[in-house]
Amino acid sequence: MESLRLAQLNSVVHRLSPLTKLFIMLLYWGTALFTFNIPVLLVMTALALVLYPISHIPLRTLRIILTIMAAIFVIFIVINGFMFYGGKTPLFYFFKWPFTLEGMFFGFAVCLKILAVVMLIPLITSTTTLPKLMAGLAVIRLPYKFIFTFGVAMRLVPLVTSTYFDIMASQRLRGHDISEMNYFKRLIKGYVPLFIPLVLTLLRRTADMDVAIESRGFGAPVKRTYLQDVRPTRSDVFALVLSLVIFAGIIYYFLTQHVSQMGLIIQFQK
Amino acid sequence: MADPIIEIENLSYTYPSATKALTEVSLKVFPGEYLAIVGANGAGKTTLCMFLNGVIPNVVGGRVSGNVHVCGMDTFEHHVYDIAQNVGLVLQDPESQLFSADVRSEIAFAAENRGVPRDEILARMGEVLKIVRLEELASRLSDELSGGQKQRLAIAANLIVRPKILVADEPTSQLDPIGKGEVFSTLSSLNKDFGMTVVIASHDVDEIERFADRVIVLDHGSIILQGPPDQVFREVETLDRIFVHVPDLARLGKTLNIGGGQPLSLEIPKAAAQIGDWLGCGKIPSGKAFEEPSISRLELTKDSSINTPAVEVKNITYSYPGTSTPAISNMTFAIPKGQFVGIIGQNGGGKTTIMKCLVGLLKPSQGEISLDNKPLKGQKVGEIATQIGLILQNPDTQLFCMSVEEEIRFGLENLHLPPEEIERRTEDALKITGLGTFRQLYPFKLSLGDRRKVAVASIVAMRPQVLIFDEPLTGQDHKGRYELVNLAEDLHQAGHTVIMISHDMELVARYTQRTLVVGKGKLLLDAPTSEVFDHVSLLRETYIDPPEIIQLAQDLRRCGLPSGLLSIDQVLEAIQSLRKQTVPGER
Repeated sequence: MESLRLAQLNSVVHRLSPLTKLFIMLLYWGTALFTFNIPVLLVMTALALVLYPISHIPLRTLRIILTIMAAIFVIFIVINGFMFYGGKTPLFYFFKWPFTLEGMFFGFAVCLKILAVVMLIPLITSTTTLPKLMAGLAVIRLPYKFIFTFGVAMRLVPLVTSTYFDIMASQRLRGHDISEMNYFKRLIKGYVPLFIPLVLTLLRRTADMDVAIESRGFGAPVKRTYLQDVRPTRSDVFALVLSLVIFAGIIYYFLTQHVSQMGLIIQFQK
Repeated sequence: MADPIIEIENLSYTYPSATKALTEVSLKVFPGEYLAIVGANGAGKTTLCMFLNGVIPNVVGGRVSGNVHVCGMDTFEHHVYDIAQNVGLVLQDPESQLFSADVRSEIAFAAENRGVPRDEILARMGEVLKIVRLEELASRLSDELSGGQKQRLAIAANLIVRPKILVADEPTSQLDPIGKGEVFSTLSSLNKDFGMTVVIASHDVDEIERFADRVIVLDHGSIILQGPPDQVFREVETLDRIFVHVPDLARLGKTLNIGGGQPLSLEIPKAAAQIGDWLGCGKIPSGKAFEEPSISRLELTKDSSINTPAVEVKNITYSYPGTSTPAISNMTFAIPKGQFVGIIGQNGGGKTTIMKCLVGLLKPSQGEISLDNKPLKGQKVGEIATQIGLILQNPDTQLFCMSVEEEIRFGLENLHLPPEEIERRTEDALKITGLGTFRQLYPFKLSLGDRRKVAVASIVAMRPQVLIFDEPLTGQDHKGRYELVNLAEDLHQAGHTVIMISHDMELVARYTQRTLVVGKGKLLLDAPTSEVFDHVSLLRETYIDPPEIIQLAQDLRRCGLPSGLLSIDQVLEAIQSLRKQTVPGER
């Protein structure tokens, strides 16, 4: 819901065509997944970070991401610190197992990769309205029925959530409170009184929705038009060129300055 | 006379489920007409609406005979997308007919489907937003709109293809008074200012009486009455027989013979003038004209007799997470045992938030709530449910069992009661709610009214002293409303304290002893119901108008009618008694 609201704002990133953003995102993700080079990943994370205020995305979004991922990051760094195959510089020992510098850096690189990938998601979802994204998908010739189904499903998310919370409240009023049940009890009898009303209520609603969709001329045998204009503008061309230059620079750096696997002067154990 | 824009001949229809919905319906609607369809739930109103844009039989199927021609098109022969260019359809549930994320996209959808060029859509968008008065909300997400705004958006989404006819199927049944007013005035403007033909199915007879040119009354799928509202609504006996709501003044006019061969007008000022003349108060003012109570009387009731309050609320404040303005702030009131209390006010004013705090679903950030002098703090929702039961607006959020009796037992089993006690309470609840014959039926297959009764039974079985009904009348027809409120009254008579949140002022006036008016998160007024409706300006702030009969009685105070009259019977008796005083010899 928050990202739907943010997508209504206006910024240079908002104004870009969804296709431009999707292309840059794939370029960025591809690079992030390909490399373990810490300086490169740091630069990419910094680039994404700079785009947050430009796109009017509050930094608390980043804080939420970091809070959710913090535990995973700690686990990755600890596991790799002890288990990394190339580790040769012990920092300390836990019983007889060494925690190595190289392992720690490797874990850190994995965390940066994940962070770089995840950080980019709000930059797409919070700057692109659903109708614009749908129009963008239509440009790349995805069937409209698929696009429309996707759009309605996204629209239904808040509705399903609010219905689920209403149902939960309703059953709590009859003494059925899943927050007080243990895991097994929840699985066995906790969810049935919640999911059955949810499914039945949504089925009832979708029958009405079917009537409303038909009544608005859905499926008419004419070439559909789109209110959203997703044709590339000068900004799109500029953004694409800039991205290509940056990523070409990164590839050049890999090819010429690649000191070690992680971009740091650490020799791995052979 | 112009050719009819809608022409239906001998239309009969049976749903695929074998339910017979329409029988030999014939109807002509002329361009620019505002036609209202009234009837009890299940009378065939929705079915008839669905025929007008071809959804039936093209999408729904079933057995059909007869003819339907709309704008010269045989709706059986054309696709819905072709008919939709001429006929817009607005449905009951605002949520089910909006499937785009934001206002502009929702409006554009129908035009995009028809291949209207983008520039043309943009030009039409401006016009349409202006007509439904949503210009300032054009950049909003659909989810951010109120119920009335969502229905206006649904209207706009149909107008973008410039239909000649707009069909609205109970578009206001789920709205508060402000939303209802918005939708009716938009439809009226479309009809009067733009000449659009409007067909509306509705239970809101007061608005129909004001706006519609013609009314048809459906009963068991047949048209049994039709004509101008002023004529149709005077058929009180017929309408009573088929459970259609009769406007207050029409019912009063049926019994009150004011002579002169003139029937009592259905408009309040004219009716008041007619009765005033008949009573002779135009010549000699015998009473004191109605005046709103002064501000000093707006003090909240501090009833010294409340020694044993069933519910006591002291200075509670609650803010929803992520919001800066409290949903309710510093609210204080007490409800004594055995009272029937109404809570009224516009949606978003804080009514439901108070109720959720009372049953422990929300925890107030400050203040204290006690039930039967025991503080609520520290108790679990399940424990609180045995003292105060909340029956939520939508019964479908709780029904999941295969039979009505299992549904009732569910709450009792969660209380871990012995089997014989569960059986005893289930039987009692079935008896109180009159659901005995449905005990083995699948609840989801029952009518909305009966599903609501199942929800009531499942809460009543937990034996709470206090019962709260949250908007129990939404989407109900006249019969369903009375059945449910009568059930609430029976429970009240049986000793329960009953709190009813409602937008139905007529039923609040008729049944409750005391009324709380809530708005903008504050308790605006807490007074006996007989006094509450005198605070006209304060009620108007929350978009509430007193029922017609109370407005008439207020107008007639200048003739000596006493204050505090709430029902038609009371007003009738007072008028007749006054008449006897002014014309002593008359019987």
